[in-house]
Amino acid sequence: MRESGERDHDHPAGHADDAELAARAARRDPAAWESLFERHYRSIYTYLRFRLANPHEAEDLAAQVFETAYARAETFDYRGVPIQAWLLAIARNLARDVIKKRIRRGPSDDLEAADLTGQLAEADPAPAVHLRSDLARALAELTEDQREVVRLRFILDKSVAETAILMERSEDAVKNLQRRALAALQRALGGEHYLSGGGAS
Amino acid sequence: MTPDRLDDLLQRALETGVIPPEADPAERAELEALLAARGELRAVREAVAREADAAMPAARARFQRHLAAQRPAPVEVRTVAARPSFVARLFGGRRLQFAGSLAALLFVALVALLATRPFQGAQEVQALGVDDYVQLSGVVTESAPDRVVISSPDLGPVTVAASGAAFLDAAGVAQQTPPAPGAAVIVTGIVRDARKGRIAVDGQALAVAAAALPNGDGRPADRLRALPQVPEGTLALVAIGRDGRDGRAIVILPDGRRALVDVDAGSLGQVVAATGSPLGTRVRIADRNGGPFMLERLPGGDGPDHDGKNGGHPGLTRLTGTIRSTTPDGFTLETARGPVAVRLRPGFRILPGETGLSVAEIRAGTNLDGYSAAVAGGLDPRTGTFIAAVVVLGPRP
Repeated sequence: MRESGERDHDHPAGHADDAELAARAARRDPAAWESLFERHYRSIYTYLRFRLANPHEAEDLAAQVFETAYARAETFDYRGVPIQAWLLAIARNLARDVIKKRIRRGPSDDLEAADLTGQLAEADPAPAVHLRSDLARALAELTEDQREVVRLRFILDKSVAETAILMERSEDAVKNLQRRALAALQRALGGEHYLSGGGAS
Repeated sequence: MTPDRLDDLLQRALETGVIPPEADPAERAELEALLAARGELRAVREAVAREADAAMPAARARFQRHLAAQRPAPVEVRTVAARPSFVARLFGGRRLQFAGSLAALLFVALVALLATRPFQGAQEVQALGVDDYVQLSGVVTESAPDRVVISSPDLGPVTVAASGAAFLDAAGVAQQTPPAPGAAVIVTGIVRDARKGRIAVDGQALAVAAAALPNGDGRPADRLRALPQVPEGTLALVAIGRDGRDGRAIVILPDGRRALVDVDAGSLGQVVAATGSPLGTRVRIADRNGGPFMLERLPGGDGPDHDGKNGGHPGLTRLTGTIRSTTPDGFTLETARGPVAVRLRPGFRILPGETGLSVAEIRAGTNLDGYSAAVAGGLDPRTGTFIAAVVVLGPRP
């Protein structure tokens, strides 16, 4: 599922490419923004889909990410930080806002239910995706940090280094978190007993 | 076994896909369990990737509209001069002479404009609404893999988001690149922007026209309010609304005029289902007692015959059969030549036809197994799957 160019910033050419693209994007060059959209839309949508469960909401919010980024174009200061990290940060903030609004709407819209992969999807009539309910329940057992590391490392294929930047953690912390997340997921899926114990992260 | 050591072993296993050889049996067992958990995520990830692909064309069109809307509008600049006296304003130097010349020039320009373009009325834009399924034709003026601009005789410039579109040559063979500038094409897709001068379509297919398409006399379309003397014509554009209940068509009348016709979506759906690509099809327009007009397909003309083989476009075709084995994103159609896997495009239109069902009931998941259906769309040569853009249901056989 890795999209083309996703790992460009792992290479010097990718750095140069990203830097040049960022400079053009800061000038609101439409072609640069169309290029950014082509490179990153799938990742942004996927990230949001795993946070918000509802495909229509994910689609709407993914579009808002690019519109928001465009509005703030001049604020992005490219210093080797991947552009996608910036977009994901916007996506994360927008998703948080949506979840907060849900909580404010009433006690029936509880955060965990809204923030899971499957529970809303089960009732969703969208035909394209049938997320597994057992996996959704398993993900519900994880902490938010564990779910975030699952989303970034195993859904978006981010490297440990990239995940560390995005989560503002050390790489060692990310490695530890990903092990605990997978262990908790395995336990919740009814897998074999986890020998050394995951514990809370 | 320490957590740090296990963290590192896991990371290496994730990177290489192989459990490091120095892992002891207990560590190996634990790593296998962790990798299995990671594997559980993959299937869901692939499903979401397909969903993202399906969502992308509409999102791209929305973002392109957003970009276009953000571009700064030209600013009118006026110079301010000292206010002269009345007499000076009336007779001041050459100003009167200049103003007279300017007025004359503007008058000539206006006459020329009116003579060459009688009007560019709102009727042209009203042919389309956002989220309409549309088939239209035009000549390619700009061509890139993700964006094609065509000049439509009915609508003017139309921007087609082409990233998710199939490109077909005149023989219906899939191409890697979009049609080149100058090519006459048929476009199918979903309207994302219906504003005058900004019409944008999420392209589903761009097909080089296999036969010459009628252009009429070049005058803009006028909305048809009453049956013309000869209520027949040739279809130049068709559009079906989002809920499948309303339709519009531009029909070129025998005298060359273009008529924008509000049509019953069911009758339009029958024409689409009968032809696959209805542009160029001869139709009779029938009055429906104050409601939208009905369209009846006439034999002959440049359009395809009932088998969709004569004229029309070979890449934009139709299938008929009985629905079997519905799945979340399509169904199997039992045709005279055997079963065909049909996948429904995002934004597809389903018309209840003679089923007695409503669109809402169908979209809510009413079981359609056993219903007859005609589907219009195109064959994906890579998968052998028929990609349906329009489904017209018939009764249970």
